[in-house]
Order: sequence, then C-alpha cells, then structure tokens
Amino acid sequence: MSSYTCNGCELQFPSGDDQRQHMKSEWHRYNLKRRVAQLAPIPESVFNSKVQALSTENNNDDGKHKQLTKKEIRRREKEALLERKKELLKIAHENAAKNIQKEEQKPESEPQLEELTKSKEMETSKPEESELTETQLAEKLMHEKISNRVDIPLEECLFCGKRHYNLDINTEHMLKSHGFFIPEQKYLVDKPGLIRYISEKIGLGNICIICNYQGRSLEAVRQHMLAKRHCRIPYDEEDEKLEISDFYDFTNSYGEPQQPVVVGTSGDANDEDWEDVDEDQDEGSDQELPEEVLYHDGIELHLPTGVKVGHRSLMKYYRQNLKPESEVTEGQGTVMAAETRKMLQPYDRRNVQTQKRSWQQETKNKKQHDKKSAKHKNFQPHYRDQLLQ
Amino acid sequence: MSLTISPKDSELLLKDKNILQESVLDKYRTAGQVTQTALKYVTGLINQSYHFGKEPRLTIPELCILGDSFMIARLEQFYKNKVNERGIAFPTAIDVDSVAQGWSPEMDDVENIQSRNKNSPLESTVTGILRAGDLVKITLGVHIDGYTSQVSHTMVIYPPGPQPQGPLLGGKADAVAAGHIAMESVVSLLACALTPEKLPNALNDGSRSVQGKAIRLVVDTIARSYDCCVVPGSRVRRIRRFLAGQNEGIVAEREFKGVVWTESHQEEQLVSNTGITDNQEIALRTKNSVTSETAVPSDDFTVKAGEVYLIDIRMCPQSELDKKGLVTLQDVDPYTGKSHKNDLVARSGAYVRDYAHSYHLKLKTARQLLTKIDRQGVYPFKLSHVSQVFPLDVNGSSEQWASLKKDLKSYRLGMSEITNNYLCVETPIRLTKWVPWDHLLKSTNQNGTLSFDATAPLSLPGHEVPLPKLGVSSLKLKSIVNSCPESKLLPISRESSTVLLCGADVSSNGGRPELLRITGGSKTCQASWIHSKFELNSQDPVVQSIFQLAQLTEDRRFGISIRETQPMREH
Amino acid sequence: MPSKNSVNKPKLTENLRHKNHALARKRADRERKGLINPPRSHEDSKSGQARSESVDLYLKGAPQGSAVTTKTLSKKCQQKIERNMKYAEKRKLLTDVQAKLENEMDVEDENQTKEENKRSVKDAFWSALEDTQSSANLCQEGQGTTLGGPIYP
Repeated sequence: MSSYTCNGCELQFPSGDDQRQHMKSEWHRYNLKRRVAQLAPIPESVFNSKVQALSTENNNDDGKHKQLTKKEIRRREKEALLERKKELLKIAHENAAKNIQKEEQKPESEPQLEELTKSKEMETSKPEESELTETQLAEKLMHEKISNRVDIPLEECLFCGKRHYNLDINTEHMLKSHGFFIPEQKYLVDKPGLIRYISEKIGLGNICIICNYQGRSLEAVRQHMLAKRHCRIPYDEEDEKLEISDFYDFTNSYGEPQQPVVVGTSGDANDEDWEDVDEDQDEGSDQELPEEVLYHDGIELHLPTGVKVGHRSLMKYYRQNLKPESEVTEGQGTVMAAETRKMLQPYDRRNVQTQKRSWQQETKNKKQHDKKSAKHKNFQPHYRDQLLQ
Repeated sequence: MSLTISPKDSELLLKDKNILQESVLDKYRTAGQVTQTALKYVTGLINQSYHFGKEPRLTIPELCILGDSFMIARLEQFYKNKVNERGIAFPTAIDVDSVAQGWSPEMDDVENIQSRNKNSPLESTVTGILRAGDLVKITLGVHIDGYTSQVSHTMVIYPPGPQPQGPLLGGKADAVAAGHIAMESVVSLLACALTPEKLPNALNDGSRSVQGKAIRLVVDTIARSYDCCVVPGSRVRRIRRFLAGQNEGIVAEREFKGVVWTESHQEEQLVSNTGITDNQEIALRTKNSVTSETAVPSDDFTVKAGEVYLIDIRMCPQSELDKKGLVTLQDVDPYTGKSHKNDLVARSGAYVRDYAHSYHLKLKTARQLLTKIDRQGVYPFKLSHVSQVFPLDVNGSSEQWASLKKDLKSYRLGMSEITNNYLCVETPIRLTKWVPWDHLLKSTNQNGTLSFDATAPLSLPGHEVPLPKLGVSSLKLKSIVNSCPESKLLPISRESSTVLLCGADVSSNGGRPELLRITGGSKTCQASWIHSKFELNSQDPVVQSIFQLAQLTEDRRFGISIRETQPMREH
Repeated sequence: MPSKNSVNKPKLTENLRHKNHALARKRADRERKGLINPPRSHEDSKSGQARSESVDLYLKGAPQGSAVTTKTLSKKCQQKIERNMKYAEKRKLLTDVQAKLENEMDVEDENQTKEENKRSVKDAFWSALEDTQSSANLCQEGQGTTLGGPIYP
C-alpha cells in the first residue's frame, strides 16, 4: 500500500515523483475544478476525449474567421485612414509640382500678381485638403452611423429595450426602474416629441444623454447609461433647458403674476366690468411684463409663483412648529375692551424690596460660608512629606 | 388678561360700531326677525305636541336642539359672506315653572337627569315632558355681526284639545299678568325717552328724561299690584354690539347702564317705610376696588336715543304664601360632588368663554374643542353647536341623534379640562327659591360679610353681597336656603325683549323718532289665556301714569310710536 | 444569632440595643423611686412655675416613705412664707376692687356699637314684617285682570 495518492482524482501512485507529475497535469486541475463545483471526478480517458472534442471545435473556428480584438480593429482602421491620407497627400504634391512647372513656362510679366495668386493657392490648397479629409471623415462617420441606426420605438424602454403597451406605461416604467424623470411635466406639450428626440440621441447618435459619452453602438451607450445611472434628462443649466425647450410651453406659467399688472393697466379702459379682464389679457401682456418676477431679498428667494425659498442653514427656524398667531375677532376684542376686571396682582414695591434684600443676604451668607470652609478644610487625608515625593 | 385692546380700537369697537345707522339697523332688524320666527316655530312645536296631541311628543331637550337648528338654518339666508360673525346669541332654553334660567340640556344628558332626580318635585323639567298648568318660558336669541336680539316668552300649557277650556287661575296667572303688563309698560316708557315731553308727571323727577329710577318704579308698582316679586336677575339694560348681557357676571362690563333687580332691592323695599338709614351699603360698595366704578350697575342713568335696550323681567307670585319672604335664585348642583338638595341635580348645557384666563391645555381634544369654541364667538354655546351634524334636520333620521351623542362624548372630555381651567364658564341653571324673612333674621351670622363665596358665579360687580343691610353674604344665604325647612320653590314668569331707540335721523317713520321693537310684541308674545284676581289700582298716581303711557302708545298719532318686527311668513 | 467573631455580626444594632436597654432600666428605676417629675401635661406639673423647695415643703409637708432626706424646712423660713402669703392675699383683693372700678367707668366700645346697630337693623326688619298695612293696597275687589283668549298663542 503506497502512501502516494490523489484524493481528487481517486488515484494511487507508486512513487512521489509520479504523484507530483500528476498534480501538475491538466486532468488533475480539471478534476479540482469539478470538485469545487461538487462534481464527481472523471477518469483520464473521459478527460482526454473531452479535450479532443473541444480542440477540434477550436481548430474549425480558427480556420473560418480569426477572432479580432477591438484594439486590432481600431488599429487597422487607423492604418487604413493613414494610408488614404498619404495617398491624398501624394496626389496633392504631384499637382503642386505640375503647377510650378507650368508657371516656369509662363512669361514673368506679372510676377507680383502670379506670386500673389500662387501664394493664395498655396494657402488655400492646404487647408482645402485637410478640410476635405475632415468633411469626408465626418461624412463617412455619418454614413456609418446612419447605417448603424436603430430606431427605438416610443413604446420601447430607452435603457433596457423592454417593450410596453403604450408610451405612458413606458415612461412610468422608465421613471420607476431607471429614474428617468421628465421635468416640468405640467408645461410639457409634446411628450412623444421629447421621447423621440432622446431616443434619436441614443439610437442614432449613440450618445449618453447626460455626459455626452459617445458609445460605439446602441448597446454600448445603454450599458454606459445603466452603469453610471445616467438615465435622466439634465435640467440644471440654461443650455440644457434650452435644448428641450421646444417641447414645452410655459406661457400659462407667467400668466398668473401678470394678472394684477393687467388689471392696473386696463382698469381705466373699462371700469365697470372687471370680469372682462381675462379677455383683455392678451393685449395687456404685450404692453408690460413684470421685470423681476424672481428676486432675492437677502434671506429668501421669492419665486414668481409666490413661493419663498429659504436657505438650508436656516432650516431649524423654518422647521419650528410655532403656535399660529391667534387673531382676535371683533367680538372677542369688544368683550376684552369692555372688561374692567384686573386679574394681575398690582406691583408692590416694598414687598419686592424686602424680597430682594433677603436674596442678597442669602447669597452673601453662602459666599462667606464657602470662604470659611475653604480656609479651614484640610484636603490632604494623610500626611505626606513633600521632600520625599 | 393675555391680550389688551388699544384705546383706539376699543373706542371704535365700543362707540363707533354702536352708532345706530341704516346698516346697523338692518342687521338688528334681521336678527330680530329670525328670533321672532324661531320663537314662533318653538311655540308651534309645543302647541302641536301638547295641545293638538301630535305624536311623538317632543321633549324639552329635543325642542331646545330643534330651536337652535332652526335659528342656524334661518340665519344661513342672511348676510352670508357679508359679516364675519353671526349665530346663536342665546341657545334655546325652555324653563318650566321654578327654573329661572338656563335649562337647555344636551341630548346625551337625558338619562342622567332622570336617574339622578328620582324624587325631584320638578317633574316636567326632569322628564322633559310638559304637563297642563306649566308655565313654560322659552328664551332664545340671535346675533348678526354682534347686533343681538333676544326674546323670552311665557307660555301656559293647557289640557290638550282644539282650544283651551278656560283661563289659568291662581298665582301663576298673577305672575304672567304682571310680567306681561310690566313688559309692555317698560317698552312704552322707553319710547318716552324719544319724546320726553310726553312723559307722565308721576314718572318725571324734573329732568324731563327717562331715568333708571322711573323704570324701577314702574316695574315694582306693577309687581306689587299683582302681589308679585321681581325675581333677582331681572334687568332692563342697555346692550351694545357683542355685549348683550351674555357675559354678565363674568366680565365686569365697562359703562354698564341699566336697572338690575337683586336680593338687596327686596331688602331695601322691605325696610324702606321703617325709616332706617345707614351707610353700610355704600361702605361695602366702595370697599370693592377690583372693578371700576362704571361697571357697577346703578339707577342713576338717563335713557337716550340711539341706544338699544334689553328688557328682561321675571315675576314670581306671592299670594299663596302666608309670610313675607325673600325670593332668591339657587344654583343647581352639578353631578360631581355631593348634593344634599333633592330639588334638581343637573349639569348646565350652555357655556360662555372667558377671555381673561389663559392656559395651555394638555389634552388634544380639549385644544381642538377650544379652537372650535373660539370660532363660535363670544356668546353662550352648547356643545352640540360645535358638532358636525349641527344644525339637525327637523324630520331627519335617528342617525343624526346617534352621531350627535357620539360627538358629545368626546366634547365632554375636552370640556371638563377647559372648564377646570376657567377658560369657559358654565352658565348656571337656577331655581327660584323663597325663604321667609324671619328665618333669615333668626339665623346667626358670625362672619358677616367677610365670608366670601368664591364659587358663586355670575354676581354683578358691586352686588357681591346679596343682603348688605343684614350683612348676609352669598355663602351664608346659600346655606340658609339649603337648611331652611320652610324654603319653597316658586313658579315664575319671564318676558324679555330687545328694543331700539331710533332717533329722528334713522327712523322710518317720516323723520319722527320711534321705538323699534325687534323681538316680542303682539305677533309672537301674545299672553296666554289667564285670569288674575288682582288689578291695577287706578287711584295710585304711578298706575295712572302707566295707563297714560298705554293710551299714548295705542296709536302713533298720539305721540309715542312703536314699531314691531314681524316674524317671517312661511315656515 | 451570629457568633462573636462573625464577619456579619450586626455590631451597631447590638450596641444600640444594649445601650437602650441600659437607659430604659435606669429610667424605670428613677421612676419607681419617684424621682421623675410629672409630664408637662399633668396637672401636678410644676413646669413653668417658680420653683421653691421650701414652699413645697410648707404646703405639702415632708415627703412620706423615704427615711432619710435632705429637704427640710427651717422655722425661720416657715415664718417668712406665712408672712408673704398674707401680703399676697391682700394684694389680690386690691386688684379686684380696682378692676371693678375700671369696668364701671368704661364707655361702650366699638364692638358694642356695631352689635347695637345690627340689632336696630334687625328690629326694623321685624317691625316691617309685622306691619301688614303695606300689603293692604292690593286691589282684589274688582273684576281682576284677564289676558289672552281661548286660542293657543
């Protein structure tokens, strides 16, 4: 009975070397992995046959299309581009050389002018080439994009591609599971338009709606947005607001604070019928608009809606639950005014003075007592010689 | 007081708002109209239940709440969104016989009252079912923007039938007659204040104006002629906006103007002809420096045009008594504590807010209730007025009664904390009691006027001591009334009415001044059929002048013009 | 009962008990011998009064029972006491006469006026109650007064 075994593969070895050899083998490793997965070990013959089957498959794949890494592809694209560029440059050089030759052949009657034109041409030709290449590039990219274009329908989730019954359910899904919040829904007039715009941004441009990250494909940009939680419409900056402002209509929001102004201006026109103010509103709104509807008074920010916004640092004051100021009605006021009972004790000067005197005496006594006790008290419980410390 | 009113505001509230002008007059008139209609409604209900025998008979608590509901429902039609405050100024109270004031029990109190008053002599009051021969006093009032109208009327319950078989006789009849005649006489006397040249000589002390003394003289003379006694608590007083006497005894009202009847006046009357003069009373009055002088009621005032008066007269017959005695009011004991009286034990239905006290309530229900109460205004209120189901539908289902009782249960809890901290004061239920004078004279009185009854509610400033000449304090009087075996409950009658003295500028009588009687009068406060064996002695100069006044008011061409506010047509 | 050397021995209570016992015993002894004065509430108590052994001996005589005593009353002292008591008697008589004189000269004081005043008020009340004339002007002989009619108002 030899003591060299492998429990994983259920083997016995005559010598230690054999065992070590075995431990290094692929078969043993495979069995170890199986063991981790709580599977029974397989004999060598089965393993070999498995390996063989796999290797043939691999060989077949390699033969058909070799897998390219992303890096490789990108490098190749770049190389191709460079080559094209080189070609173009060569053509340009040739052209230039031809021109020079022609000029040399021409009489030098108007050298200045020629020179001017030449220099001009020289100047213009170079940027032309680069521009050409840039536009071409853009065009090419555009074409690529358009060819890659994925039209996301309105009923489909922008972020996970899930299909829904209609747009409303879809937006609700996006709000609940991705946090896709549409700002100022009260004033939103063209909701499908907004969603279509964003879907185009994602589907066609493959651009993240928040950070403008450009993905290579729709899946890429979706992955990015989900991973970074970039699933909302940015609505903080002015330009961000302007970007989607086409789908909104804010006219009825500034109608409200406008009204008092309108009443004031159109009041002289028709004094009797105040009810007509609403009809006249259009005329009035053209004339005057309140200049500052949003202002800051140093403490609070006054919004045009009338809401006052305070600073966070003053939160403890705003949070107070103060008793509402009781307003005395006329009846209560009358009864209080007619009241002649005197409920409070009148202020007695002598009484207060004696009270004061007794308090003073008390504090004085206390102080004296403290002083005395401090003087006579020995705080040291045992005698200690200071020199021996 | 936690809050004080600036002098400018108080000037506005107490003076400027009380000037009678067309808008104010209209509010008074409307309030009067609602009150009149409500009184008509309640008397109608009583007639139907107890005279025409319509089943089921409505009990007193039901009548009270229905009267209140009617007032609120009627008020809805007037001055909606035009005035801040309007509502019930006096919750419907139905006092029977000896109950002098304040009997307006809540619906949830019915069983309590019956179980605690098994041996009570006041059977109609306890059971809530009226009986033939009862004197039923209905009191109610309404205010619009603080302009208040109040009315009380005494009704006699006859045996059921299509019409009364005969007049009521005896002492109760005397009281009704005296009350009715006194009311009419005082109204015409007040009307004389507008045309002082018509004032009869016997009532004129040379100043050519109606004085408080004249009012007292007239009422006392009529009471004496019918062998009656003017019950303490009767008064003829000037009322102002929001100050219609609802806070009397709680608030010491500035510039009180009016004649009041208390026990001290009976005492004075008794010894007036013996020629005894002493200045004890004056000394007692000046000793009390807590309240200002103008708050103390006295008879030295002149009735002027442009004022509004509340006439509230209670009469108590004495013909069936063999001795002279003092008529006084006894407060009914509440359920809490021990009561040795077997007349009546009950808790009062109406409360008045007292603004002089402030306290932070601990119970949430109490706080909520207090905010609701503050919304009700300054007038007496019942807890059911605060309830959600109020006003009740007259022929509504029984569910509303059940939900009303449920509401009341939680309100009771809150109310107990409120009253314990004096934020609200219960308006007491009072019984009319008679004590013979000899018992009062024989009793020992060691402490004299020094004993002080802190629990005595609603005593007018300056009248804290009921019998100043004898030196009997209210505490002593209370114990004498309780202990005296001869003391008796007496039936009383009550009439009250609000009148406006319109000067020439606001009068609708073609520029001549007139008295506008906004409550009471011939349409709603007709006297029931009674016969008294007494009559006014026409030899007496005061009685002659009373007759003279009555003649002057018969037609407005005679000089004194009185206009009455009519109740609304349809119900 | 814990032993003498026990750690848990309640030393304080033991000592206190012992002390109280001893004191009580002493007190009982003294009481038995009659050495303790009667309590202040007792009628024999002399507390608060001038203390004099000789006056006691003069009034009560020598204490019975105990054979030997240091409390004695000399003859001279006895004579003195007799004389003093005679004077005291005379003085008392004099003050009584003076008090009597003063009382007779006294003018009626304020209390009395108040009392009298009240009595006069009460008298007035009584006279008013007995007077039945004022109620006589009631007019009962006529037809009386009838209000209303045979309808329910």
